[in-house]
Amino acid sequence: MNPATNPGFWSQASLWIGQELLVAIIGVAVVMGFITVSAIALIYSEMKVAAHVQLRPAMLEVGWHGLLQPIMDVVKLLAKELTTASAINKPLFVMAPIIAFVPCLIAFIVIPFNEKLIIRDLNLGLLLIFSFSALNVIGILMGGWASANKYSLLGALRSVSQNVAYEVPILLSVMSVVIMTNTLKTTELVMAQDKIWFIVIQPIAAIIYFVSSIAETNRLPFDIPEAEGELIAGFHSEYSGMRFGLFFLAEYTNMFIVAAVFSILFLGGWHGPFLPGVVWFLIKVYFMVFIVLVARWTFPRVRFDQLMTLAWKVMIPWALVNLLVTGLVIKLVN
Amino acid sequence: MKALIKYFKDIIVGAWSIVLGFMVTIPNLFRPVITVQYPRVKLKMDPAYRGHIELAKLPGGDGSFCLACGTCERACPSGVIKIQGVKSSAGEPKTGTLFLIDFSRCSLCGLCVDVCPVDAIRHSMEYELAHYSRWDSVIDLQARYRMQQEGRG
Repeated sequence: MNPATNPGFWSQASLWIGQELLVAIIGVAVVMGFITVSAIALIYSEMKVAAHVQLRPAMLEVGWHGLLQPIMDVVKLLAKELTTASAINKPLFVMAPIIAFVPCLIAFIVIPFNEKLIIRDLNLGLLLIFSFSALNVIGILMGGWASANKYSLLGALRSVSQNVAYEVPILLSVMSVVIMTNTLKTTELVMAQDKIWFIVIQPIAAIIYFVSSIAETNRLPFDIPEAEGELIAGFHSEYSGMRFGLFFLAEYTNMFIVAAVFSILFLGGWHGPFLPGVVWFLIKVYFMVFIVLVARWTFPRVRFDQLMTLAWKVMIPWALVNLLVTGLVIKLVN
Repeated sequence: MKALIKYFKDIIVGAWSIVLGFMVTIPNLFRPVITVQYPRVKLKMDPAYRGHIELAKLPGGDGSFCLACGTCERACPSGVIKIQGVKSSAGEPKTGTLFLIDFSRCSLCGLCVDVCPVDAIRHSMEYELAHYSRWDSVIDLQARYRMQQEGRG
């Protein structure tokens, strides 16, 4: 592939670039459509699950048993006025929801719905997901700072320390799985689980990953940054209409991504007896999302110092111990 | 040493509390709902329910037995009752012709029911009292009683 020796180099190169660009555009379009449909389904199921856990029916008015309600919610968000206070920092205020949402889209590049259904099977698959979800923190911080509201700022600051603290156990528990399979490619991680799922071999890593990822996505019981009832809506209290809708969408998409990574790493991805791989993958992901939804109504919100204690004194030491033991076992077995 | 034991105990107790929490909430998902879908399903009230007051028919009488004595008007702590009556002839008891009550100020204390000497007033079981203007809450109970009699007879 040398331009000097190969005369057809530029035509081959532009053909390749054209093909890859087409795959990328189609992939992004499909992913955007999937995210929207999934967000609508998640809004509906969050309200229904929340309601039935509290022994009440939800949303019986719009459509049969409320099936049209999430669509009306999206329409309402689109139609609202985008209020801005006069003391805000306008560029940061406008950019914050965008920065909070775009990393979620990027993480979809390496999520495998099937052996072949993946936008780009990158060699650094898992690392892409984690590095871009760290950008979420910047979006939250910008949102909290740019709204000229001291309570939003408090929510944003707490969110930063919470997210930074819980990144470490996530990465350590994921490392325990990665050193077993020696690869960061998501398809290979799933294919290494065709005999036995990793949740059986690494239960502690699975639990630590799951709890830390609930903290990463700012869901109850780790919901301090958006503590409804204390800070009204925390870092996004000054946002209205579609800007709030973007934060909201980012939260639901983050939940999906975190559940998807859990099922890739620990639950065997697309493996399963009769149904096609895509169906099994979606069943596993939505099962984990369901557990996150029920956990919201099961546990009280943790206090901020309890949250930090949990991260630094319980999650990180045990994740380190798990990594150490995994490394020793691998060394001894090989 | 004690701190170390407390650390491990905290972890075990915390992990068990997570399991207990899910054991409480997940069965709730499979139980039927306990709320009543109000406009479509209306609950039946107890006989002892204190709804807004109405004039009661006594067995054997064909008008309401209100004597327009005014005891309930004087007993009411909010002053919402206004009574008018006519006396057909001397020596006969009065009959009430107008019994105005302002429900927006009635506190449903039941004092008028308690002091009536002929038990002409009682609590009804009606609770749907929302109205569109302030004067809709001023009701003539005698007219309501007559409408109830016509509906029944």
